[in-house]
Amino acid sequence: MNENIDEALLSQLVDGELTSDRQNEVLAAVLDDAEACEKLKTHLRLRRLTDDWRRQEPTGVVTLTHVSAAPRAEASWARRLAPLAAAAVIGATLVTGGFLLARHGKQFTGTGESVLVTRAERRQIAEVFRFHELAAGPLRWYAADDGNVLLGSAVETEAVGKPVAVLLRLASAAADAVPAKTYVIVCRDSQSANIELPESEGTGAPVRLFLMPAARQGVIQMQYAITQEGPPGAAAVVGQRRVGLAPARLGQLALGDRLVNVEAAAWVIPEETP
Amino acid sequence: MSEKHRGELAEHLPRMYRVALRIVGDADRAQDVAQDACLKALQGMGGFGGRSSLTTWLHRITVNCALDHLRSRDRSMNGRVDMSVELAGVPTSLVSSPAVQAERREMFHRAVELMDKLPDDCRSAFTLTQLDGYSYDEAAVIEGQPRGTIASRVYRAKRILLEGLEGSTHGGRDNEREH
Repeated sequence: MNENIDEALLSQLVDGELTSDRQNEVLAAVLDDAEACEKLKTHLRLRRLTDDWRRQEPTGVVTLTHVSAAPRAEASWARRLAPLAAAAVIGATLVTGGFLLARHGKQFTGTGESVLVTRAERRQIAEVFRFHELAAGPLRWYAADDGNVLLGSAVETEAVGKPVAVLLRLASAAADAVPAKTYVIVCRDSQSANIELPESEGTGAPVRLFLMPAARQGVIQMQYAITQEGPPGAAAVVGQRRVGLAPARLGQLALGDRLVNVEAAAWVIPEETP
Repeated sequence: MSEKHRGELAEHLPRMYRVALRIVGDADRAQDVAQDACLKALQGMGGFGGRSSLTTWLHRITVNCALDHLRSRDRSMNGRVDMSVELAGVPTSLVSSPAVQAERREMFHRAVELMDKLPDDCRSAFTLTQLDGYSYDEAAVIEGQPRGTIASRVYRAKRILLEGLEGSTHGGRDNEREH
């Protein structure tokens, strides 16, 4: 083999590690040298052995989302709003707490039953959301449980998407006495919502929620990440699911010493109340 | 979380998956590890101040997540995985005939066996560049070595593997002749 052709260069050549000019130089020398040609073929064969391995990609969807604490400027507790908003909050809390959350919460306690969201409930949630927007201005997201309401204001310059309602249920996986927790959330189509949900009884730390719904032709494809950081460690459930009026299982979350099933139903809130 | 960060992470994702797959040896588990690593990376992205390269940082996170995963499952820590099993599910080049594909798989299995016998520094350089898909420059940063050292180690690893593969091929042919 030509003394000017170092086999180590052939190794770098097949790995695509030579500059274009150097590559051409080595190739030109190899073409005039039968022995070097054979060596190059050998290196190419070795390189090709690992081609298939290098082509491997993740087998499923990896969600590239991050759940962070809601910025204080964006998330505001109801008590920080104007008196009108406070009235709206009380009304909304009573409405949601009065029948909707109780219905869904109780029926999901350890039974695994699915409760379809009714037309009346959808109308109720739409009205409550609009009521809050009247009081507090355009909202990027809204979240309520049976005792709290959280609002995330839209940035003034931001165009908001269609509102998408999400009914999120955290229900103990065991048939214990711990009641299920239900949250009503309204976020925006194709816009992410980062929400720090109020601390639930016995969970030890707030649950952080990331939602990114994408509504297409009546179907909602939702990216989600729900995490809780704190002792004994971080718990997380992340993924992407098609979600509709029948609750879809999002996964399981270890909250404190309990294993919790996470389910969600979602729909687009129409322009006018149905 | 900026779109830029998400985009950067998406670019590295296939490689993070391969690193995870090489360590945990199972596609579903590797998927979980890649997901965990992404979550950790995104959580820590704000604190990533460019002290190391993004490639090195993500590689370290992925390796740590994969090792944590192994520990949590009480798996052996010797780093050996049955990569041949994983590769069986990967579509090989459409232009290759079934016979060629089978031969390549067989050779790959032999190469994996031989890789265990490589000196540690050579195996590491070879694995990073030939299996995980890092460039020599990236492998140099990960290993904390000059690029030339990586190139030399990769070459040495290849020489050892080529000699081993040649030996086993001749051995196989000799055995066939005996029968």
